[in-house]
Amino acid sequence: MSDTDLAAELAAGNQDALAELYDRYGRLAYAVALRILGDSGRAEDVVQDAFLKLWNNANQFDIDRGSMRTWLITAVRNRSIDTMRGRGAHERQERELKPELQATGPTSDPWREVSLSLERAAVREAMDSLPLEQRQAVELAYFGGFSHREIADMTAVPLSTVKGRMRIALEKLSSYLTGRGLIDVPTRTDGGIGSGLGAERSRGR
Amino acid sequence: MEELVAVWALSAAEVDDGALMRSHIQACPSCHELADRLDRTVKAIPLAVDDVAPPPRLRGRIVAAATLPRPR
Repeated sequence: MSDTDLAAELAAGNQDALAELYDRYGRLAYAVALRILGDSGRAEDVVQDAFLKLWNNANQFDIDRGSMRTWLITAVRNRSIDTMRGRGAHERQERELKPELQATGPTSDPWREVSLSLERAAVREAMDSLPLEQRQAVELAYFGGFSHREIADMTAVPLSTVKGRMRIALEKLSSYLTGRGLIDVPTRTDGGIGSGLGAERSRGR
Repeated sequence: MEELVAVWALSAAEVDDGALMRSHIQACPSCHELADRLDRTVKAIPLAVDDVAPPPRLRGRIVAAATLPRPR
């Protein structure tokens, strides 16, 4: 069953589709939550919350605008950061139900698993190829939820240096992953950023 | 503003900077293109995490919770 068909089954309230969705992406979702939170109990709660949010809003999910995997993993990441930093749902400004990536994935289960495995290996390789300070800047932001100002303070470097490291690191990752066909080159007709999405997050501390 | 796009894509902008960036990205074609490209890149970063198997009970928890009526 393709992700498109799965999305339709979820919208129709088919609980087997939810189980199928979990079988596809639950392992990755849990790994992301555990990486951020470092606590299996809280990671489980975050993953459950994200899957149920998608389940409860499945009829609003537009598969043409992005993949369920991207939506789920973004939701898990944002919830994990909020949990770690004690932020409530009212403080979130996340892009849930408005994902941008277009990939809907292959349709057969064995190929999907192989494809995901290859993708993960390629992204790991890309991250490993970054100089330590660039990788650190990206990881502190993505997995730590720290702002660029906080990262500048933590690493005792000027703010401009942190910005530069982030920019160079993302450009390298973009080039690497685009070259391997793992992310699409955006076009002006894509929904993308134009769908009114914002990446800034509340920092209610 | 372009130097802040990567910060924005990583959700690492402060609230004020982020709000400003959002407006700017909507209006500036080159920053819009850059933001879209880097945003897609950031979405791939979680794939780099080490593989960890979740506890078997989690699947059952999620499916069981879905038997409750959906919120209207």
